[in-house]
Amino acid sequence: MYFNSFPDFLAMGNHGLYVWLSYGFFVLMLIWMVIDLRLNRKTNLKNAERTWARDVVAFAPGNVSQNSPEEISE
Amino acid sequence: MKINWSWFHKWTSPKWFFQMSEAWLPWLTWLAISLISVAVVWGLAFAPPDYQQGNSFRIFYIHLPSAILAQSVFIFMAVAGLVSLVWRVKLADIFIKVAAPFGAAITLLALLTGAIWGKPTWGTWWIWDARLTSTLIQFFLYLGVIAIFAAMETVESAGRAASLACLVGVVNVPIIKFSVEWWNTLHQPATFTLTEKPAMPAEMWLPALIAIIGFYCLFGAVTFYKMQSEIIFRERRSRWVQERFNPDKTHVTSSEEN
Amino acid sequence: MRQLIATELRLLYRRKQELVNPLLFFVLVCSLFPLAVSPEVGALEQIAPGILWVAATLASMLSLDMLFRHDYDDGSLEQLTFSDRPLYLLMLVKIVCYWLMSGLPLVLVSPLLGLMLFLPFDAMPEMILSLLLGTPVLAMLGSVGAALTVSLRKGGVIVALLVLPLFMPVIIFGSSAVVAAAQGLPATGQLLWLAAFAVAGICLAPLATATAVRIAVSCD
Repeated sequence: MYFNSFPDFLAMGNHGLYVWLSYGFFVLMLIWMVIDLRLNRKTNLKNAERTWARDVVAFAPGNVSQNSPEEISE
Repeated sequence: MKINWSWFHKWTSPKWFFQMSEAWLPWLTWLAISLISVAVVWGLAFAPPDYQQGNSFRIFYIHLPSAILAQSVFIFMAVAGLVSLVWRVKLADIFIKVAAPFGAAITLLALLTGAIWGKPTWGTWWIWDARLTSTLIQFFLYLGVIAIFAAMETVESAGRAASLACLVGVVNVPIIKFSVEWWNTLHQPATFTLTEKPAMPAEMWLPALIAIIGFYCLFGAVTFYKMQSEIIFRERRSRWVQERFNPDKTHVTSSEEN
Repeated sequence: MRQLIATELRLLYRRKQELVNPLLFFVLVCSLFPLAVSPEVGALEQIAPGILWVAATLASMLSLDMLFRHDYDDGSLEQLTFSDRPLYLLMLVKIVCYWLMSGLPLVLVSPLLGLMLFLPFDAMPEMILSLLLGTPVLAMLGSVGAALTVSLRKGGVIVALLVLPLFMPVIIFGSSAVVAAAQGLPATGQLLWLAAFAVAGICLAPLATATAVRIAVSCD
């Protein structure tokens, strides 16, 4: 450990602002990545589900005449 | 020399890639988390400060891996672009689409950490020298690829246009790499070369190396996961996707099974 | 081949309204700087090389869209891809004709604008030469971007985003050549770099443009 105390660690020999700003950006980037991953997966699943719902409703046997126009032309 | 072409063929199948990446993803994720954590803690607390630059040198442990990845991600994208254009491999298109935002973010991180590090070290936030300028150009190139996917109507045409853009833009990468050797610039030359030992002691370059590997694992994990998401949508009409994600109402409307 | 060149030039000449716009833009932008920055000789002669080069670059980008747009819209671009001549050569012809009608005028007008911006007389030959070597490179790199975005209806900003990063080295060397000459230093290094870019561009850019055209035409 190159630092004698926690305040020393934070101050980083008066370069503290620079070091913590950089690592802070890094952490922000990681957080953004995780959020983006989750959102992206949800969006893709939702869009896929929309196709599945439409196909099943439209092409299920015996269902053709009962479909309202809104459902088919979604 | 007999080349096992079937190994290459496997890589063109989204289904095979999905299954392969599912197996690898936990490993990559945990490797990324642990390696980066080790590197960060080591670099922040246990590595010695630089005798000239003091503690601001600790930014190196973030700046170096992000700068390395900023270049290599684009090289991967260019290779994928070549594969996509020559052999029409869908997965290569997907890779480019997924890698571009990551590349942009990591290049931005390199630029930001570099600027922050530059203030105490060189006295200035920014300087228009060869390496910084060409890294800025690299950032714009990533944004261009992202814009292509946002603007083009079909994903297929966007993929091919982006592949070409990556191939044309990759000329910038050797410029970044060699700029510190060709021109007398403020930025220092490379730390790791293939031929020489680094000039710094092991307790300084070891955490840097660990950070680099950790960043690559992070890239792998993020890319694999996002490619999976993309594949789920693009292959939504095939049976294997529906069986996995829509098990009750599997209904194949076309004969697209891969 | 000769027919193609003649046709291309004739078509471009018919659309000279669109080609005059970049020229006017070049002149106007150069005129804005004395008004906005300072009309003093001392201030202007320092930044004259930069103004000329940035204005020339932006002017080159303005007319890029018309390189392929008209042919794309009426289907003749697609016809070109079916021709039995190599698409590489056809693209080279298009780019060269385009540069003759849009880039060359910029080069010819630049001495006048240089005088207006108090560019030192010693730097004039280097400035003309740098633009002469640089505008073809801009045209060639721009043609790749234009071909990639011709299938988009509003591709204007994307062309800039794709193509300006590639322009930056050209601007750096071009402007630096003029600045060096203005200070009495030799500019051969920078001019040689520009010449190298030009040669590389002639060899490689039509290839990339041809691929981009095929992509644009096939994905509709």
